[in-house]
Parts: sequence; structure tokens; C-alpha cells
Amino acid sequence: MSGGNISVMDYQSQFLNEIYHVDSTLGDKGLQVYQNNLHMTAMLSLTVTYPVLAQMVGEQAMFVLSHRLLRAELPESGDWADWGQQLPALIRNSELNAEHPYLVDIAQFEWVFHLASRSQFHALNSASLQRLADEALEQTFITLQPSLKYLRSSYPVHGLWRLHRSQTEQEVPSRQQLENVMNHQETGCYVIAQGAHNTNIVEVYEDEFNWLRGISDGLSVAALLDIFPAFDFAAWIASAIQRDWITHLE
Amino acid sequence: MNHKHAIAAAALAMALTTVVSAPAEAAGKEKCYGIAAAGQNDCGNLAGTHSCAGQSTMDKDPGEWKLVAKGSCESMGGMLKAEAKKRYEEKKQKG
Repeated sequence: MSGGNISVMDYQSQFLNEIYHVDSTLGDKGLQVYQNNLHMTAMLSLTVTYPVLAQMVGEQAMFVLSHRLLRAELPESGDWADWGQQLPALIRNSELNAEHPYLVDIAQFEWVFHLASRSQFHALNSASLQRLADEALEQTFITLQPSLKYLRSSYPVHGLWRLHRSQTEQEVPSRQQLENVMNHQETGCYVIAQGAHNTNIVEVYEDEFNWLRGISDGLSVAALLDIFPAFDFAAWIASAIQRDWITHLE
Repeated sequence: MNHKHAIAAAALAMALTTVVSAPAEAAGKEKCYGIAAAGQNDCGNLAGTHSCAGQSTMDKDPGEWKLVAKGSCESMGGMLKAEAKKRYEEKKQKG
């Protein structure tokens, strides 16, 4: 009985391997049906995870990208939403990057948004704020939402993202709309985090970006105040609470 | 009290004020549809095409909302959610 099970498992494993081996030259038509199905599922999944990128490059390019991505990164968890992390790197090394260098940043932006939108929200432990009244600020640390990520771009990725997300799938932004976005100056620093109701994107300035990085690097409140003496901590903590960025102080 | 502790105390005061005032403020407000200028909506719209503040692209889109003081929505020319949803469904059915 157990020998039979191993044999079936071996067969299943080999079969899956053949399906995932997208360049298989066996030419088996039955296998090709499964492979085509895999490619279409991969492309649709990537389009869901990267809707703005999909609008920008079109269906055919998404098919090619998903095909290449399957070679670099196989789905592991059984949930297609977990798949696609390596797409920004793949685009960076593709022919698309020379002509459309902003696509890498758009893809990175979308992946971070995708991860945050699937993350659990943690409500603020307001009692822990009392730690700010403690003497030992060297031992007081701010804990941010686990989903909070910050990223930089030299392109107006937030504007491009908003413009495309406000269109239906079939609509393409006009040249004038794209020019307006490209000519609009953004700070180039973005924070994306899961809030109580929505996934929020906030454009921040350099000083706030560095402050957040300091928190993520594990600096204590005392160290943060030493390194960023001009930063308005009081105003920031109020706005960070409103933005659902802080879970607790420890 | 040194300078850092003074800053931390000010931060604590601001933080506590924010924590205390946020729910009270929300309790005195309501979602008002059809009054938001393009890019100035709060959160997701009725159509479900976006889920973030500031993503509306049309002035006074009936599917977009802003939080306003309770009782002030209709006087601003807006609709409360029930009416907005009803109109949205009617519009959707008409195609």
C-alpha cells in the first residue's frame, strides 16, 4: 500500500515538474493543455497583482512576462496571490527597461501595495503611549504596522498609479492625462500600509522618510531625537496615529 | 526634565489628544456622497473601482464621498449613503 502511494506521489511530482517546466520539448499535446492552462492562470494572476502595469504594457507583454517569470519563480504556496515578487527584477533585466525605465518602479510600487492590502491590520495599543512619559527614552521604541513599507522613486509613481486605477480595465489614459502626471512634481518618497479600513498610500517628504527608516532600523526614541533634532515628533505622532501607522510603543 | 523628555512629553500630549478625539470626531460626522471635488474623496467609492482617498477623478461624483459634520450633508447638495446607493443601482441597471 505504502509502495503504491509513493509511486503515485512520484508520478504526480514528475507530472507537476513537466507542467512547470515551461520549455519542455516533449511535445505531448495533453501536457501542453496543462501548460497552456498554467500560463493563462499565471498571466491572469499577475494582472490581478499588477493591474497598473498590465494596463501600461498590455495583455501580450503580460503574457510574455508571466511566461518568463514562471522560469524564475515557481508558485510555491498554492495561492497565486503569493506569486510575482520577482517581477520588478525581471523587468529591470528585460528589454522593456531601456525604453520604459519607470516600469520597474511601478511594479515595485504595486507589489508593495499588493502585500500591504493582504496584511492584517493591528489596532493601536494606546496604553503603550504612556512609555513616552518614562525616563528611559533610550529604551523606548516605536513599533509600526507590520504591513508598513516605504519606497522611493524618481518617477511620479503615485500619480501614475492613481491615474490608471481610476480608469476601467479597457480605458487607457489620454496622452494629456499622462503628461499632466509626468509633469507633476512628487516628493519621491512613499509610505504604503494597511489601515483599519483600506490600504493607504501617503507621499512623504525626505525628513519623514528618514525618520521612518530610523524607526524600522530599531532606533530608540532618544536616538531618533538625537539624529533628527529638527523633526517635529509631536506633530508626527499625531498624524501617524491618524494614519494607523503605529501599533504600540515598547 | 531635559530637552528630549520635554519633546516626548509634548508628543505624548498630542498622541493622547489624537487618540481621544478621533472616535468622538467620527461619531459627529457622516459620509456625504456627491460633494467631493476630484481627488478629494475619502476612501473607496460605491463602484468599487478604487479604495483610497484622493482617487476620484470627477468633481461631485455621486459615487464618491467625504466625511462631513452630521446633518450638514444635504444642505451641501450631497446625499447620504442609502440614497446614493439607490441612485447608483438605478444608474447601473439603466446601463
